[in-house]
Amino acid sequence: MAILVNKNTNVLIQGITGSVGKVYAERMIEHGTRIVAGVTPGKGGQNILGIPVYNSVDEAVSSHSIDCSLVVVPAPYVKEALMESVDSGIKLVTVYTEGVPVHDSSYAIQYSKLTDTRIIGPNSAGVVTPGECNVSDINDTFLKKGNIGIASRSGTMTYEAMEGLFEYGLGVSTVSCLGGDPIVGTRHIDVLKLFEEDDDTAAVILLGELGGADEIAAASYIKSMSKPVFAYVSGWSTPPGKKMGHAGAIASGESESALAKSKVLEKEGAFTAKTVKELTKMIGQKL
Amino acid sequence: MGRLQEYISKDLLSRSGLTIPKGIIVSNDSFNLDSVTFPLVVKAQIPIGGRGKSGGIKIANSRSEATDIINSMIGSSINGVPVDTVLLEEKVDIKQELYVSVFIDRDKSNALLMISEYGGIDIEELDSEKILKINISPLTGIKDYMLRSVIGRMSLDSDVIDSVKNVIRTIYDIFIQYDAELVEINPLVITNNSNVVALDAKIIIDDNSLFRQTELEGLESGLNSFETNTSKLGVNGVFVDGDIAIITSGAGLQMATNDTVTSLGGLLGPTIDMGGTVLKDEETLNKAIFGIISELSILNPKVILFNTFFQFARCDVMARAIKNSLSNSNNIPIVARLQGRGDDEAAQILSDSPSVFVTKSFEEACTLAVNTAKGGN
Repeated sequence: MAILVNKNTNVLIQGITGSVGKVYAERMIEHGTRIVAGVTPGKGGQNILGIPVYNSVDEAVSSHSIDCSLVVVPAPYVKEALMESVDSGIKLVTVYTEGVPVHDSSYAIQYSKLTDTRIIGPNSAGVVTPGECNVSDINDTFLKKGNIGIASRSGTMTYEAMEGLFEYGLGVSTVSCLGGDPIVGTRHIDVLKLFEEDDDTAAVILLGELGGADEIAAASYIKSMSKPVFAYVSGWSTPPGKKMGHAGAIASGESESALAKSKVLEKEGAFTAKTVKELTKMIGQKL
Repeated sequence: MGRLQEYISKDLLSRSGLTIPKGIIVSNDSFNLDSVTFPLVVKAQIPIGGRGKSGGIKIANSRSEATDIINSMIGSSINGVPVDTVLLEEKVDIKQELYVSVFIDRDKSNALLMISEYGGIDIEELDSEKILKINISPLTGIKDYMLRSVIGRMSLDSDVIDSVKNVIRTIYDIFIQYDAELVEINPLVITNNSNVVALDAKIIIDDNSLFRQTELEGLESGLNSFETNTSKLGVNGVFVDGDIAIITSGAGLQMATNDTVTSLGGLLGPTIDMGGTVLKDEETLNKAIFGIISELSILNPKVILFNTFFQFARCDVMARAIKNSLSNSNNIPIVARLQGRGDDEAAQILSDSPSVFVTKSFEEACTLAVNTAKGGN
């Protein structure tokens, strides 16, 4: 059945008339993701590639059954876009936009906790269940169906991990990119719990990075899992105090370093590697 | 943006009504000491911690002592950071030192207030049971019961309680109003006359809030010229002094590349994450790559490693951009891992450029870059 999204997931795009929104809509149509509506304030009544555009999420929800919203609006508007989809009762919202002010993310995520809306991101490459639903920036033609779940901070690192898996004839059940910001709505541990319950997933890849304590929280759950977890925490080579790439990737204190977190994951039963290549090789040999 | 200098942080506190020591700013040799009183504290304005231990804070008891200290401090460098501004402040008498801060708690997705009666030393060196902590939801903001909860567990003189509460409220307001990641006062001093004074202040502003924090624009520092110039190109550069310059098509890939290069024995140099913005069309990409190569040619690393795996952007477009910028590359060897759409064409485009080696393999590219940096092939 996979997790988060599947062949029955109806998708809305918030910001569908922008350049990013259009590209996403095109890809979804081409590869069979059920994109049912779009929202752009002031552009209601238009059509994008045959998809109806509404002025508000509420209007879209009253005309369509919507399970997931993909937010691609510019960073200054993300906070309200999220509150709007929470108010409209959408259960899963994934935020592709990067550069969202951290106070806005904090507010919107706390707001979503008043309901049962799950936010993924911001700054997330999205979620995809191959052949069923793709709300991510991963190209459908590069995906292979299989039984390995991926919970990752990063889109580009996920491409590399998948590429490595394919060399061993392995594929993925669901890929979930959680976002590279310091504050994100869904953490590794949340996705591990879903994978543990998922019949289509036999093993899990956890791709983490230096900074924050997400991987530590995940480690505490891994020891109770029946499925093997393979982990790579990137950024152990980053010079101290430098912020490389992701806004969240800076360690404040030794316990947030990549090596320290990797050690904790290993102690709690995960198989850990120091590079992507080493990770996929390890999986290839064990599975 | 990023971390504000101490005097700018204090100015924000002062404008919000908090008490800071009386002081003046000096940034060249034509300063006037008529308005200051002695003893005087001279503080180098550099955005790094531990400056007191490295000679960045000195006390002057006379006009001539002050002049000597200022002249030797300005133009010097402390822990590698050049000093171009110093803050001269009255010396404040200290009865008690507190620590107080509000910052983003990334694990709880809200704000964390920390306060301690044991201020004046680095917070990381304090036992955690000496620090009181309370999470504040952005949905509620700071409330009286939260203040009562922390103040009630401290042994403060009754005549300063209202002032301390006011400091906490004010730094929370600054935290929200200025999109701060951190507002810290350490120490917050209680004087013999029961005044409450912010003796030092550290404020870090969220870079992503620049669009609405226009008042703070340009105040920042801590970036070197490579970082400033690459940011103008629309990419994210980080200066690291080393052999192998690394350019990637994403932040996660960058860290993965750094780790792989390091594990193969390579020495990381300046890095650039191109992000998605410069990939939107060929002209933008051409300009960005040309600019990146120019910036790197100044730093002159031993090798430049491109690592890109494109899901939707095209490798052949990237290859043309690299080719167009070779005139500017100072003949630095380039290893380009180009995988994804158009990768065969990309290899073809660069096949007659002798300083460029093209591959589709992540590992081969890293290995080759490390070997090139070591002087082999």
